[in-house]
Amino acid sequence: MPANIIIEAFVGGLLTGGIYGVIALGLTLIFGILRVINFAHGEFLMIGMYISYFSCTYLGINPYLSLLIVIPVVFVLGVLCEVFLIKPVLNAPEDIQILLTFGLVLVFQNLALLFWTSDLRNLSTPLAFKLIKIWGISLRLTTVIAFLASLLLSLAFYLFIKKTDFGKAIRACSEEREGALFSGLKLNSIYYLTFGIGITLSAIPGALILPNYSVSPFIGLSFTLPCFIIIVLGGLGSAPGALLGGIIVGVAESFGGLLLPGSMQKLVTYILFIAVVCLKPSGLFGAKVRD
Amino acid sequence: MSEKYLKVAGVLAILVLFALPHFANSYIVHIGILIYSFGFLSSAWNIVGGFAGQLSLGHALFFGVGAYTSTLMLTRLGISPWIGMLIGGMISAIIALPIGVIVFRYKLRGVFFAIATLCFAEIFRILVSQMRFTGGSEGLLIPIMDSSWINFQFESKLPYYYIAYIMMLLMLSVCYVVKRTKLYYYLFSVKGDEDAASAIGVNANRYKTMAFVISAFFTSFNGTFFAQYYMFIEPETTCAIPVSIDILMRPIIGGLGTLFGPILGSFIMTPLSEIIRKVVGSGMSGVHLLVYGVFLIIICIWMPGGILPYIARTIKTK
Amino acid sequence: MRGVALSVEGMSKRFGGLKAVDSLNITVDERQILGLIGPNGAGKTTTFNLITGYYHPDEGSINLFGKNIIDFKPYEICKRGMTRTFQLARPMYGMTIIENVVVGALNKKGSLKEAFDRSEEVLEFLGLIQFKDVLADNLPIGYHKLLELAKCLATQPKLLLLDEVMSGLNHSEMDLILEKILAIRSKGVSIFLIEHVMEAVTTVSDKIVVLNYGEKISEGTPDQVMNDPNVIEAYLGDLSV
Repeated sequence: MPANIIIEAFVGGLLTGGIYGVIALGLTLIFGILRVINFAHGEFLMIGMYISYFSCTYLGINPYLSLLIVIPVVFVLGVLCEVFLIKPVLNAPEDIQILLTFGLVLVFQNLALLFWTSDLRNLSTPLAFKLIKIWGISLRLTTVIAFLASLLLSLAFYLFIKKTDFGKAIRACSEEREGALFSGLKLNSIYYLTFGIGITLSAIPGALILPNYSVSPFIGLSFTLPCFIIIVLGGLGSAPGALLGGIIVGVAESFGGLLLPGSMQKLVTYILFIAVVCLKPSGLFGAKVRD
Repeated sequence: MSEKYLKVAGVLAILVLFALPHFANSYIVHIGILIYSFGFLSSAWNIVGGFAGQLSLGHALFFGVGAYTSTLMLTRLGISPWIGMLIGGMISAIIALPIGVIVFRYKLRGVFFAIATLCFAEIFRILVSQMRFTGGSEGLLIPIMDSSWINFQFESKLPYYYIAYIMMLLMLSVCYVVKRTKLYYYLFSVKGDEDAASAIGVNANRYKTMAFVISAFFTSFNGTFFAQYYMFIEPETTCAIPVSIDILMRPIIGGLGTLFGPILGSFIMTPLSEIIRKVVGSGMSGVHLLVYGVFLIIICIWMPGGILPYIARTIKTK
Repeated sequence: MRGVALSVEGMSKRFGGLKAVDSLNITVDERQILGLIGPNGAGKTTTFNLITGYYHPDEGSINLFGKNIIDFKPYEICKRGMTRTFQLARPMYGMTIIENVVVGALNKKGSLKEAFDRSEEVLEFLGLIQFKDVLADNLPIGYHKLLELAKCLATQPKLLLLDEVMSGLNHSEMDLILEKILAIRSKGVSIFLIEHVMEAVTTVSDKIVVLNYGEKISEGTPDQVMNDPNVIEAYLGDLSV
């Protein structure tokens, strides 16, 4: 295989990986603070993408501008979901949480199917085809922008967590959930705000990749699954871990795409999941040992 | 006293349902077949999902193995689907064994176990859709043969009805027996708290794997039934995620870990999804899944564990 | 001449940068009641987790009745005769009291019926027999610790590890548990217990080991240990006494 194809695949994977990383960041944030595994993470991305798509199509704006609509809408949606659906099961056994968020997956996917049909929607903008050359490799402009935006987002998130009061409150919450010296009311608001932020973090990349990605009601799982791989690889609650894990997964999928025919590409993700989740040393969720 | 009423009601129900085909139309008989099939499948799933508390999202794998094994053995070797059914069950068990060993050895729990089973099922589906040997994504037709028991083919729905019915009752008996074995106690303790169970000598991995293998073995049987009833199998209807969802919805709604929960769940959800299908038409295929999702959310928030445990709890606190 | 039930030598465990347990040497003799105390975070439960196979030590040896159990899994260790309780233990809801105990009784070979018989004996011994067919959900909280004890006893341990079994108990409940602990020992079972409640541990222990920051800082009879200046100083920083 010619070297430049491999390099392109590698760089392409790198870029995709950075984007994955931000999505996974949202997931790990939600888990770290609320201790809920959000099965429906990818579905919020899907919703964000549809919002962006319709904004672009009916308002004639570009996807980047559509973020002005996507972000508030998705954030509010996230908050509402947390308050009405997640909060009741915050202290329930893990099974119930899995089933609830799985129920959310079914609801979102099939509502999307009902409203918007299973037709693949594609934003046909000339932007999608623009290439730029970096170090002799041709890359899609939109992918590069998405990658850079993801980096910016991660940086912004990092600063937010480390420097702002709310960020500090979130961190205190993750360390000592029951012992957090907050009145019940304050703890609640941390939860729903964090959930909203986590969801928004996953929806923003959706808008960013829209130029090159067709949206359908079923794309959610294709993002949720890599996200789970990423948080296993990178470690729970670890922001740099999410990004690093994202890059690993992005590159792995990219090479998988190179070697396997289209219909088999998902195999890579599935096998990767099984391998990663088995081989990553336990101490993740593994033995929930008391101490 | 109420227990006696329940037993009488139960026996009556068994007899009525047995006699049903003789005074109901063909469509009702078909619904009955579906209800019993799902009752069978859900009970089998319940062994690992309810008794052991390990939510498997990948049971479509075993259903598919059953369907494809018996069909391939019929079309290529001319072997009766009944034998194919048994072989399919054994193959499912053989596949479930390493999966269980690996997955539990590496301490996959909760959501990671669930997703891993989903991955295995999806891998199987993709492979089956790609191989010519299994008919690819176009699927396989079961050849039309003379109506007979050996061929597991009948012109009328009645024999199918009784087979499905007996299968469901048999599965119920299997679960009833399992509930009286040591295995059940081990599983219950592991489900509640695996670390604490280990501390009192329970080899959690071994028993979880056992439950998984048993569940896989029986799930597979209904795959064969499906193949022989519909006379056509394809990856979408036998190995895809909606199949796994259909299987696990019923015990979750009816009562996870209980004996009759899966059956109750099937009696509620199966007619419901059929009605939805009729009302909404084939154009909107997602509606019944949407309803499933809503039910799941409602159950999780208000009746965690399912309807039967909820009723039991409400009665106890009166 | 008493044999040794448990012998821990040079056991250490690090978590990341923190040394949770440092070169620990502990011996539990047969038929002995050994208490393990120390301020919060001293590494007591970590020690239990290491001994019972939930964590793997970085170095050191663990011998149970002469057998090296360092690579054993928790359930294997139970089969070898060492059973432990957990601090945050809950009964198995949805099962009756005797069914709860049966799970422990199944640790030994035999039929389900035999397990039920043995469980009944244990319930009698601990004074829980009147709750035999009561659902665990309906067991008064004061009896939860006794049930935990019953489950462990049913495994027929030769060494019983109790992790803060007195926490949350009132005076009379505590006296009852202490009485049962002594009764269990008189049946030949060695006992190794972690406790925060000083009164309890000094009453019942033959010998006490004191831990601080993962290291052993004192060892001796309850009197010796309670008067050891090192111990007093360690606890001054922790006002739970």
